[in-house]
Amino acid sequence: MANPISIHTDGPFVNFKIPEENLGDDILVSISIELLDEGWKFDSDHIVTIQGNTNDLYNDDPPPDKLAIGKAEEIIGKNFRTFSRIRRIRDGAENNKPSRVKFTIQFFADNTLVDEFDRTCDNTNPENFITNINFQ
Amino acid sequence: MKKTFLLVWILSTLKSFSQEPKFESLKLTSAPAFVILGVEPQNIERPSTPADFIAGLQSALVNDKLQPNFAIEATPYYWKHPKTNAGKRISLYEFLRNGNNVTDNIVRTFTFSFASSESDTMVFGDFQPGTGVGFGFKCNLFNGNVSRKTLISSLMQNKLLDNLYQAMIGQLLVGNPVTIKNYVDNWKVTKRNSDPSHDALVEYAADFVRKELGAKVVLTNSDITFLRGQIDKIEDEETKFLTTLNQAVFPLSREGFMLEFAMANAAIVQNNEWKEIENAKTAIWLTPSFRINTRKDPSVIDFLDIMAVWRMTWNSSKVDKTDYFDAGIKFQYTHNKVSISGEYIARMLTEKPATVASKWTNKLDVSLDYKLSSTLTFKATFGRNFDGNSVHYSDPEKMFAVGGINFGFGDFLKKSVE
Repeated sequence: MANPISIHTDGPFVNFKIPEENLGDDILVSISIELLDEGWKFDSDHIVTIQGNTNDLYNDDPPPDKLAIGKAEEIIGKNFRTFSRIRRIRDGAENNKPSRVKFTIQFFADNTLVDEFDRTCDNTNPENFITNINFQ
Repeated sequence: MKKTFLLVWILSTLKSFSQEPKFESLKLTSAPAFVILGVEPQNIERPSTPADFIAGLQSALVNDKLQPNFAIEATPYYWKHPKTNAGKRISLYEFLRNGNNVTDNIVRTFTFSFASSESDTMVFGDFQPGTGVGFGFKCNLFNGNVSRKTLISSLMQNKLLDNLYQAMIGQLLVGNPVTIKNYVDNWKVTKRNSDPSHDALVEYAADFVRKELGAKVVLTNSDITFLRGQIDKIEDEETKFLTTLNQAVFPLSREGFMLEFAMANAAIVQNNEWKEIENAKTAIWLTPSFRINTRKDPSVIDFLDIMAVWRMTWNSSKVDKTDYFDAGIKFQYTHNKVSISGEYIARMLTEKPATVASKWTNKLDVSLDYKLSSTLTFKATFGRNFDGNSVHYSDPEKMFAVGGINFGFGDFLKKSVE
């Protein structure tokens, strides 16, 4: 499947096929942020939203870690979006060109990793990483 | 000795792969466990933001010889609140909040330390030679201020506005209706905490967004363009704030008034036999400091620190017949990797023995530090030491000059949790 992560603005919703054998499992999501250059720190915001729930699943500064999205069979057909905004703040870097950021999103069925995707941005600061998925 | 330096070299190499550069966090000379051993060339160190765990070998003058001494320092707060992703994720809110609430500061900065050194026969009086072991703790009562508080507050405000608009867009894009009042009220509950200044920012962001949306009750997909326009304005402003902030090499450094409290105990393992361990001395001290940022160019590190110390030391009768009260002052100028400092400490003997000429003695020194890397610092100190103690009286005019490399390591032991 195509990489569902877009940088800066929203991309299209990409179909995400949940394996047949995991249809009875809880689907979980984790996000990790890695700065690829030394001498920088970051502040972040992460918002996780799913169709059918008018409250955000998650809206906080630390990246979500194995956040429950819902039972696999109940989220099929639903749109799912994560939004992460990363602000780099200098911490001793020799110049003020912000560090590149590697964004990784992982999907689990219970504790089994089903799939993961990543994207790396340039030195644009701040930068948004947006994942748009339609569960199948 | 060769083995020790080989170990240090290996550890320093490992660390360079895993840790971001820091300005002043890898100095163990201010660890109370190290200070109580009385072997460091300088006596006063500026309070600093604690590291979650550091360990190192520090050069020190022991029995008139420069020797490496081992020390570790750890901060329990970070065991429950780990500095994730090898310490690279920070919270703007935490930086603003981490100010001068004394209870908060104690919880966050309570740090304990352990150190060992060959025992200095002058410092430890009539004890048999052996190994000195120190154990201590310290905490900051006042923590100074973030140097760019106004800019970071503005960034925090933009962060909340952007978050609310982005969250609304997210709901619309996945296909959920957004009833503005309900959504904003729920968002406020998510973002509020018990800090009044933060909650005021949350209220401000909520009110601002409601006003910008006018009389609308429900948002639909046709509002996405408007929301994106609002976000673009906020994000452009945020880019400018960050560009300004990042002109400085360490924009989140703290300055102004800091006050540290410390307590430590030293014991001597005489003849290096554990069965001969004896308590030697206990001390408590306060270290106030004031940092002035003297730089005009934000890309240059330029600090003037004015520090003082008040220290009470209770000695075992084998260390000295009297206890000590120390009062001292230190000036330190730091320019990028170089720092030059001078300190003067007056020591009063609480009970003057008849064999001692005066109940006052003092220590005066100047020191040059050059930061070779985040793990290595060259330090040279020249000066005049205390007159020994009232058991072993040394020549008060005797000068000392020491130079050596201090190593800090230990972050490679930490688990990266993001």
